[in-house]
Amino acid sequence: MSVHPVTGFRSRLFTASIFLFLVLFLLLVVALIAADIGYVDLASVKEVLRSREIRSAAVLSLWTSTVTTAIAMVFAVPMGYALSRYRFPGRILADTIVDLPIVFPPLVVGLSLLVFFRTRVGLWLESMGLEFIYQRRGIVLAQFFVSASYGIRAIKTTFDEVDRRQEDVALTLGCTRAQAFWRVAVRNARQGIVAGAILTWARAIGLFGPLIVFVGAVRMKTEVLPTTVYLETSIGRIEVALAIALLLIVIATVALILVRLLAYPRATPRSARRFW
Amino acid sequence: MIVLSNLQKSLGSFRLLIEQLEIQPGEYLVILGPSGAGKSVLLLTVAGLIRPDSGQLFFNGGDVTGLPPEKRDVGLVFQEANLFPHLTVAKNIAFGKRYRRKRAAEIQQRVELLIDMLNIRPLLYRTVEGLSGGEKQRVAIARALSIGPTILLLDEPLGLLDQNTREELRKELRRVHDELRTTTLHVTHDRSEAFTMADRIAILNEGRLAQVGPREEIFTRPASEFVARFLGVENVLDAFAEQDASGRTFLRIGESRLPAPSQYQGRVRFCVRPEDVSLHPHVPPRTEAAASLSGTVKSIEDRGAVLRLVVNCPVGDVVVLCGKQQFLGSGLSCSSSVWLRLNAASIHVLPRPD
Repeated sequence: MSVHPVTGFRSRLFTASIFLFLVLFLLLVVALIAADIGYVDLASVKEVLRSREIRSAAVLSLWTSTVTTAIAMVFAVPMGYALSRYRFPGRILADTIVDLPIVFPPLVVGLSLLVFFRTRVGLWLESMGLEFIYQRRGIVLAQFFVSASYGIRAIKTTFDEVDRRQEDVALTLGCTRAQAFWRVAVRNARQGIVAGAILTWARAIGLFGPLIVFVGAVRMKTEVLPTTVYLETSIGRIEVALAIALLLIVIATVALILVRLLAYPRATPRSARRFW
Repeated sequence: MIVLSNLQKSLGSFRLLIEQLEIQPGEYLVILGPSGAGKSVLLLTVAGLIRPDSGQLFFNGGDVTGLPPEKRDVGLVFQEANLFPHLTVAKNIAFGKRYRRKRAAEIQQRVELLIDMLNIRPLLYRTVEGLSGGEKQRVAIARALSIGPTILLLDEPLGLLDQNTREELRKELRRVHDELRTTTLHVTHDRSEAFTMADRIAILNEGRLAQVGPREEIFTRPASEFVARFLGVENVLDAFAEQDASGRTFLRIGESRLPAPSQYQGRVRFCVRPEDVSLHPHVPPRTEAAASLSGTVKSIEDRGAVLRLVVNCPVGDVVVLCGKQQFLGSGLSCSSSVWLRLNAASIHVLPRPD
């Protein structure tokens, strides 16, 4: 149910200006995709869909970004809860550090990871059999470092809005802290956790910068879709590169819409109103 | 019996200090105080959701100060009900059963009893979202009582309800209490709520208990000017207390001198309820047991059947309630000269602040 407010000329002008920005932005995104579509020819699309290497890169992209998201959620749910519910010394600093990976230039992330695995700690990890450089698990590590922050931020914000007193009541009813966390807080934060997972996954699947430095672009081994786009571009096959990019966009769009439908069953918030 | 002993908690510049408070088994105790008095802090400390800095808390003789909330057996209801939105009404009420395996059968019996007692049966399989405020609060009360708590803690439980629902729920809460006899601690800032619900009332101000006693006593014999003002006693007036040779105490109020019990000598303040002051158009006959004061009507407020008058007297402004017919029938109006009579029996001399 939506309500129609009484609108005068000024309020319609206001609504129009708000929608102006929305439309401008959508146009920009759509225009870029349309330009890609216009540039790509059918032959390139067919080649992309047939290529074994590209199919392998697509599968690896989906697989690594999903694993990354799963690991990120293992961290993000307790971290978001800790940052939201507890006041501890250094909380503001911790909160800031969580956001730092977002501002790291992608290339710097790759370099930092490389350098880290030349330190004593890094070498020790490698000697224990945990190799990352030029390995598939290096993809996940790089994606995790860059994209987990988005999920943590989203989940922290959700816990901020989840009613704390429900947990208090659950305690008096006999739940332990852990039970109250899982059965009440996490249960109530479910939508936000899904939103955090979407952000993390979307960031991870599109990640390219650190990978080229840290895991390289080994065909059939460490090549993900963004790397393929880079490789094709570097040998001048722009049409194929764009066709792969479109494939990536299609996969991501389908995934985003699916999860959004699952996570937000109510299409419009109650505060929404019709504008015409 | 629930005993709070020297319980202390500092939060920023606020400090709660309860030297001694005992809640008898089966008693309905209302903590009444202005906002910011520390009522919720007190309640959450009893629940174990706030750890006191020092002091002790006993439930039926056992020290529970160090016990976490899940081991205390307290029922808790907040102002906003705080039902679990992902569960149906039935599952909300039975939530505690899952965590008390040994007593599950007993709790199930109680749940059934409470469902009938609080008229929840038609709502059982509804989701929480569609419930009205009053329905939510009834479910929250049932959920809190389902575990058979040692004490039921209510934090402004009726604060968000509309007036009709609130009055209905007051009766229901009191009826449930009379049937189950669960020891109850109810926090509110609403004095009429305190008066209708409580066996005893504890007045809390700035983190300290200002007075604890049976509700009639609190209202008729406030222990301080703060309590009197907070309870809506509008007439707090000046008098002079003196003692004659035989040790009888008298109060001089304006021109009158009347016998009245007072522990103090010299300047004192006393209170008298507006309904205990009578209004006369002429000098009333002098008696031993009442003080007469002359004054002029300062303002008149129409309250339906009665008028609320403020009469300016030498001892201060006195609020009087007067029947409309009586007032208009005697030809009085604003700025008329009138006489007031205060019965000695209805005068309560306030203790001096230390």
